[in-house]
Amino acid sequence: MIKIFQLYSLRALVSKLLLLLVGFYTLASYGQVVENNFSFGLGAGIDLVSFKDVSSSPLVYSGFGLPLSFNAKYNTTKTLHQLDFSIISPSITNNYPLKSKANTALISWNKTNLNYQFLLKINQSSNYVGAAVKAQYFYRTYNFLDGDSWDFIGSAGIHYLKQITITDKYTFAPSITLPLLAFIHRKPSLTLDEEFLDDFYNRDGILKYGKWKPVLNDWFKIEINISNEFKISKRITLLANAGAGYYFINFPEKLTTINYQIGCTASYQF
Amino acid sequence: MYSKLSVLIILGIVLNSCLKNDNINSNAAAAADLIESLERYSVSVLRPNVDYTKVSAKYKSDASENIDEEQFFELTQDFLLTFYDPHVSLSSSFDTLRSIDYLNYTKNINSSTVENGYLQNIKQHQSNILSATINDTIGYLYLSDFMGDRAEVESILHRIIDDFSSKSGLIIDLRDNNGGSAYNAQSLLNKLTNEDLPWHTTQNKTKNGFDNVFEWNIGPAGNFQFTKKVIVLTGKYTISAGERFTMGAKILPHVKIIGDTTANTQGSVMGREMYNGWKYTFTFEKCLAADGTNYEGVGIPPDIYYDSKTLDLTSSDVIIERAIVELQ
Repeated sequence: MIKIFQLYSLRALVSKLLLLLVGFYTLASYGQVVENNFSFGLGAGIDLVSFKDVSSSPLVYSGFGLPLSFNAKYNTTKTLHQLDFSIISPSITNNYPLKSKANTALISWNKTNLNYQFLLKINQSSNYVGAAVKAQYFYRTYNFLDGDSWDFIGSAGIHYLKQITITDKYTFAPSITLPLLAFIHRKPSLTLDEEFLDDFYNRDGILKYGKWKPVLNDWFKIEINISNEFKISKRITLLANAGAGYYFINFPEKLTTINYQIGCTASYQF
Repeated sequence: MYSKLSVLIILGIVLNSCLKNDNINSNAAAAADLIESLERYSVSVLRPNVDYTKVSAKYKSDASENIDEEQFFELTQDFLLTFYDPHVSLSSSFDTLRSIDYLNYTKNINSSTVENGYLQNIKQHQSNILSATINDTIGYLYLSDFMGDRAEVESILHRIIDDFSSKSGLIIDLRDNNGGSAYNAQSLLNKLTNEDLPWHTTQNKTKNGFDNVFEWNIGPAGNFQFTKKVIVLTGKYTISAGERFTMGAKILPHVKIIGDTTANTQGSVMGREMYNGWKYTFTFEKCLAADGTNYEGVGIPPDIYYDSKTLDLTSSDVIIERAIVELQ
């Protein structure tokens, strides 16, 4: 796959994205606008990540990745369905290494998020509350022996969103997600031990090592997000978002991860 | 809106304080973390000849902030060498420690002497696997390690053993086998037995002891198993998975081991980092033979012993010659 961000500098990439958006806007401005409440968007951004996984290293690793994202939204007068997918992968973008202050760096890392929220409008207000189902996979490779590490969190929880309309074209929406139950998969031991490898080779062990856990039982996660929607035409919306996430998992050893992301999405309404 | 943004910023500052990159320039902190990590993860510290409390206390007291990084490396090296574990290594940007270089071990194989003096029909199957014939009746298999893709290695090893089906004897030369995957060692053992047998057990070191026992077994693979006479050649540089193979050879009645005692570390190896970014490796698995014998720290003795230090292998190989005699 072409490594998009290797071909372009960040500035060149931003200018090309802007050109694309302007083209998108120009095309979308013509033709008959049909009222519809389904939209989808494509976006990009930057994700600042810091983590410390004691089962692999006592060092904190920090850096950034460039996620590509896709989202789809369907809203009625009473409900809001939202699907978001984002991926940071060296096979798509350049491999920006996460580094420690001791001058060590990860060989590689990637992160994938898939989120679905089903929200109900509360009493015709601008408040929405509902369920969030999220899957997150964060994989990293250290540059020493057996230095693979990962965590997968598949969670279900509650999501709250408040939609604040500033003007006809501009809305502002802070949201917060608190997962309640998760399926968490971490390395079963400190390295890829024999039993895990045996299960892995026999193709029946990957799920075997995951654990279902309620929140605060060896793990916790919180995500806060603020999004700003700016309608640039009847069909096109530009969405800028900023968010922060924090989670820890206490098994087999403590993992703590913090990330901040900002992103921009161009959304098309059908 | 600005109040919400400020909440996000404050939250960010609070969250950031949860992840502190502390102590990266402190010798004392790096030493303390190394001591704790080894105690937590390594079986090397449990060797009967190691008084970990004593050596770690000395290391901790010597690791002051007044010594420079070269001195700290030497100090850490001396500490790690007290385990006599060939799996132990330490690497920094300016120096590297391989424990085996300090164990006063001598290699008991000279590849050119073997190839020029004893082998015919040499086939290099991949960089670490070579097969040949000694004569019309004896096959020869050399493995420099047990690394490589499991399915690929299994296919190669099984094909080689099948090709030796007409031979009356087989020499498996592991004298400088550097270890690798126990599964690849198992693939070869499976071609040497016609019955299911317990091979060895492994247990990972955990915070409070060890996890569950994992039982390794061997059993016949494919249509043909080589159950005629087999000689396994071992030495001080037969390490890790090479030693586990030797454990398997010990339980097979048609297999005899000739050479020197193996290196002394059979469990799997793990890598970690110190606070200062140096990397180190150590053994994290307790590995017991099928009869419960623990060879960690001592190595697996051969059936016929040759002291590596006394051998002159420049023009002849007394170990191979003894193997040929045993197979005739």
